[in-house]
Amino acid sequence: MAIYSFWIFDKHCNCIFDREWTLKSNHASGTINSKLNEDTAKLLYGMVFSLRSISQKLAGQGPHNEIRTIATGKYRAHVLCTASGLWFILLSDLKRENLSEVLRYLYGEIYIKTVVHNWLSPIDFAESEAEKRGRGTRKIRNRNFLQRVEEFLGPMIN
Amino acid sequence: MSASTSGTSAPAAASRKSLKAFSEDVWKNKTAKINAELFTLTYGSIVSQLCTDYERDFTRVNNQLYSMGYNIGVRLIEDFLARTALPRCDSLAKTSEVISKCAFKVFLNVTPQIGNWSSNKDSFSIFLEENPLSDFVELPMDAARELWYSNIVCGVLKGALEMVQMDCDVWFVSDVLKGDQLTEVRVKLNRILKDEIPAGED
Amino acid sequence: MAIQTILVINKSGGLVYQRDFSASAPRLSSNEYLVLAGTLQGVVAIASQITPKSLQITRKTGSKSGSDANHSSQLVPYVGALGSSAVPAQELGSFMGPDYFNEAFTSWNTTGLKHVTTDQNSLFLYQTLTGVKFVAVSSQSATSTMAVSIAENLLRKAYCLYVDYVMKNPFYEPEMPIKCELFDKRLGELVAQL
Repeated sequence: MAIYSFWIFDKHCNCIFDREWTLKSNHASGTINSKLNEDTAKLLYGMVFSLRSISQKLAGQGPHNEIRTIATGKYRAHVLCTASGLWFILLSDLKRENLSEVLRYLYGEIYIKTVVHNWLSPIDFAESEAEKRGRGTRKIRNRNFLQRVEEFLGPMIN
Repeated sequence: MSASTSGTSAPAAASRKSLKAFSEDVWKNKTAKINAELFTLTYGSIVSQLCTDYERDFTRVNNQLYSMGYNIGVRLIEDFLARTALPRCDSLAKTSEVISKCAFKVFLNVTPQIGNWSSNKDSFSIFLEENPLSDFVELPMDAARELWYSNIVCGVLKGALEMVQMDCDVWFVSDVLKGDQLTEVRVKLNRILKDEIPAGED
Repeated sequence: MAIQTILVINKSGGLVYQRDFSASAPRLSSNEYLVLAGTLQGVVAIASQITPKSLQITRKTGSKSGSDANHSSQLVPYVGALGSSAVPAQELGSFMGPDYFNEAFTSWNTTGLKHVTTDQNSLFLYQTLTGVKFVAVSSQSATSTMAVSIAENLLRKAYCLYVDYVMKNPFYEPEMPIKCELFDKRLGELVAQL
């Protein structure tokens, strides 16, 4: 059982948070909000975006048909898309079949409480037009958020 | 003809069986067969008809057989893969083993020897001790110099290997029908068509 | 598992076959299906590029035993009856019975997209060594390992049918849209077994 990384995208297609663990044995390993992950973030965004367009077509006129999981032979991506246009994505090994509860918690208990309820943190990270459409670089840096993500996901990485 | 595996895991049946035993099983229990004489006669009538149609221009007959083989190979490889589900070969040595022990076995029920490796390991020979295509055949005098009677085999190998992204040259070096000691088919790997390997493989 | 649609995508990402199996199947225009096929082709590649770093690290430094473990994780178990209890005797073409194959097999597609679940659907993708992709869309959101195995078995069987009734049809031109009645018929029988 392992979680490899955690990503948040905002409604402007920007990655506003990324955390990747590189060593299973060490939950302090890896990177937070890394420049090196910019390309990966774009690919991940592109993949979810493409598959969402497919799933919406498959649903036809019916109710919403959001992506839940995406799997390859190596890993599984778990996706939570909120009505406000945020995407929470966890990459895990294949044994984790459903992490929707974990994603809900990250959104409802951690993101909402440490970012949204925090008046000193922005909730829209793009400060100008030039930072929209995937061109933004601002990230969630507030300490409570970072700490609670570590506390919550740290024990699940191996 | 394609594929293979790292180390011992031959088919999916991985470590449980050798490639030889696996191929024997596929040939014996999972492959429909036809009468050998009908097969040999059918091929013979094709070659003989081509010789007539091309007015005994044997170079053109060779080319035509090769091209027919190519068209068979690009289709036959799918049958081979669907039947065996062998993983991709990680070396040309493995490819040669799969060709001789599995592909020739399944489709022609022979297991030719592999040998004569080039020093840089990019080409090898297939020695056909038995050749079901040419049972009963005697080449007429005028054909003995130029005609490669079983040239279709080269085309099949070429087409099949190309479909698994290996660009190879395949040709006959010698044929017992021509009075040679051995029947030898040469395979030379030019390059792996890396751009065409389907995304998603390691 | 209710299969709504099966697609076949050629190695260049072109849609060569699309067929619905249930009235609830999504109604997409043929153009939309073409776009869908092209999109999936791209996503297979993207998915393999975002393999987590920690997996790439273990693969590089991994000892022989490590890579073997990786290999076995790609082993798809054989699912005989495809989930249905009564298997009707089926015409197996050039494949001699009792089934198209009867052993676990290794998946060729190790790092590319294989399986997507949404609120309403599951999508399964089986890719051959030659690059042909067989895609099944089901009307249930199934994540379980069993469902994935069943789908992969089903799609390998669809590949077996493709080999017999498409590739061996001398009038079929490779890479072109598949219009083979026998393939339609056999595929229908195969899906009905589920």
